Amino acid sequence: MRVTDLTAGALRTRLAGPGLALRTGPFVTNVQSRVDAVIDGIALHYADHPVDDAGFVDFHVGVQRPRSLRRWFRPQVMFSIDGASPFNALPGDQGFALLEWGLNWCISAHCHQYLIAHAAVVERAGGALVMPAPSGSGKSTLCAALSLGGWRLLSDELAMFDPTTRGLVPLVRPVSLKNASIDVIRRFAPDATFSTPIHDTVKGTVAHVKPPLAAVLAASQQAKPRWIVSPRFEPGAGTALSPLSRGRALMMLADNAFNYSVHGLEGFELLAAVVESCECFELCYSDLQDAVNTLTTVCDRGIATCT
Amino acid sequence: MVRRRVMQGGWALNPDIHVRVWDEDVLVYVPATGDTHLLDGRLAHAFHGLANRDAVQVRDQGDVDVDALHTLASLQVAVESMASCASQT
Repeated sequence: MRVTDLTAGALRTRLAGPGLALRTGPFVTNVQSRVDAVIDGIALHYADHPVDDAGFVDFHVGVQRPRSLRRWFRPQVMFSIDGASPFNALPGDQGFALLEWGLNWCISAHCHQYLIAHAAVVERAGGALVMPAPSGSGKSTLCAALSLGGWRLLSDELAMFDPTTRGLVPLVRPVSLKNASIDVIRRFAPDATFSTPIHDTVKGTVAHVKPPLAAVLAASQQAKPRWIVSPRFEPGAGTALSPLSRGRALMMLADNAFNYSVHGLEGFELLAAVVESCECFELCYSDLQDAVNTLTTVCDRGIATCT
Repeated sequence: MVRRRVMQGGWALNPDIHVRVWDEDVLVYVPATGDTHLLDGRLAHAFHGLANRDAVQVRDQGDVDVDALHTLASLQVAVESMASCASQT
């Protein structure tokens, strides 16, 4: 069963009651919430995701109004996991964004069976393109454009390397866009499904883009790392794709990893194997379509060389 | 005791230190501290120079003579020293 198979009333009843067991990639998260922004956000962005009532639940989370005056006066929402609230409350209209940020934290802070890096991942012809970069570098914008332009979305935020297979594990969830990138992607893909932008968050204005159906349906298929691209958005700059040394690529992955130190030597060897199997580049861009075309051309050329 | 093994193009020395060499880049991982050092540019050049000057021959799985083992131990000290310098600059 998928979320879209539930009526609006049934979805609301589940979220307000025992919770909705939502499968995203390898994880099942039981979500409880009575907050309209969360209910609407799940109905919109997770419509194609499986509901997994039978399996093991990895996380029990909730986004609820606090039991205080802020339940009614300038309403706030709080994220909870196993009944504990690790973060400060946020304004009530940020409920869905808070759920997304909370889920990212749950995975990056707990799921050490994977080496997890702050990076976007898309796939083409079985090869994964990994884009490690700090916030503000244009990573999610580029990821959204690629995933709406023929690449398969694995994640816009968390690259999860499986130490056993050395493949990348999909974690298909809504793509988070900030500030100017919201309108950039609206122009790039007018048919994409957007949430209503939420203003004045800690990250500025935030909106989410619904992940493509094909990516959700392929969420159990790992992809082999094939390209590492460090993106950098620079206003007015021409598109420039230049080689990145393997050493720098490894350091970039390590610097952007949440749990590299947890994996110790195995983590070093895993990342070394990853960069050895990849072509590595730095990408400076301002024109999104040109950047997408450049990456697609270079990667298709690489695929053709290997076939 | 000093030992060495070749692992997928990298070196593992004892005391525990792991080295990967890709073109001009030298990556050093020190499990004791969890630190990863990238030696590039002059540091990588120094690393390669040290290896060559001391005639360290890292071949395939073959045995290494005693002098080479001592050289590798020296190499490790040098690498850690270079890595330390790198982290301070």
